[in-house]
Amino acid sequence: MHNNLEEKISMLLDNELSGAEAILLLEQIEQDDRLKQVWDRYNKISLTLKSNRYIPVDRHFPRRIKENIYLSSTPSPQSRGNRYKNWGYALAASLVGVSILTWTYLQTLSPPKNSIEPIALVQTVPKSTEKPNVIYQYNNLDSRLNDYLVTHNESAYSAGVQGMLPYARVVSYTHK
Amino acid sequence: MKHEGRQSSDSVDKELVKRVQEGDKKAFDILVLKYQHKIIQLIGRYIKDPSEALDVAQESFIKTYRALAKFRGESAFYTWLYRIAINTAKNHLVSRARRSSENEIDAQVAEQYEGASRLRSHDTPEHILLSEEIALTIRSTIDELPENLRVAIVLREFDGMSYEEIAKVMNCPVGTVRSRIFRAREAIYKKLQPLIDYR
Repeated sequence: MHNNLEEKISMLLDNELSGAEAILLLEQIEQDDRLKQVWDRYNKISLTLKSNRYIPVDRHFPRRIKENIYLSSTPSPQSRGNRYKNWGYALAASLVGVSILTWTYLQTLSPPKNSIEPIALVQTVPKSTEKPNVIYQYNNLDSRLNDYLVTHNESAYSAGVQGMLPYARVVSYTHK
Repeated sequence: MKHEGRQSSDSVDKELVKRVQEGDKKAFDILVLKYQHKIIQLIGRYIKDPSEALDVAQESFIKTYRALAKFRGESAFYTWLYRIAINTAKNHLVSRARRSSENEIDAQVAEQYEGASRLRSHDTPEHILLSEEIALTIRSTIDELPENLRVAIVLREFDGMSYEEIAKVMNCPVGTVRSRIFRAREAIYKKLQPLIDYR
């Protein structure tokens, strides 16, 4: 039985087993120290025959790789994929969260009239008529002031003080 | 048959790679088991210090594992692993030579670095002596083997023939070839054991 397995391992080394048989045997070797020794032995012989030189394989070599892979933070290719997915979900959730918070914050910052004002701007007609009123009032005031200035200028001119406008009287005039 | 053997090995690798990509870490242990010897000897051609070669081989396998998610199978797994191992060995040599704190040097730089061959560690006298002793033992062991075992193992190991091709050459059933190669290996091992089992 042993010889049969060893012969199979010799065949495995020469790629003379079918795919399914090879995987099955490799799995068996992986779990059996005695079979591992046989596998090591045939590899040693084959490689030494070809190169006349052999670097002994530390029997802890596979274990060290395992430790590095299993214990390091680097995930397996599959879990790395999942991790990227998780990162994507987390990022999306964060963006949604930030958007909600920003919107809520802006709502609390803005005075309530802000939300009404645009409607008022559109709908309130008097507001749009106010401006011509102001302009009219301004024009009216302006013409009256001009009259006044012209009058006083004339009177000032006539008084012989050219260009001197009585500021106090102008101010008092506007109050009237 | 030789071609079929290679195909079978490729299909085994494909299946194992697929399993690793699906999250089965044990499948990667099997790939390490399958290729550790070849990769260590390959790196040993560049880095003569055995413990250093082992470290670089370990690094190569870890790099391979980490890159396996990106492996799409355009080339055979072993070809890909082989390339990673060579680049890792060259990077190691270049960075060691430059005594730089940088750990990674672009693989292409290492590939184009003409001094790489001169940077290889020199064999220690013990290693040279051991290599000569191993070579002598192999030659004498093969010479001492019964002819049918000797021819079978030489055709397999040195000419790379498949069992079926050997069976045709030796005019015997494939099962006989299988048995002869196995027995030749066991006989060679008995002679080589004291030399190659020193660790």
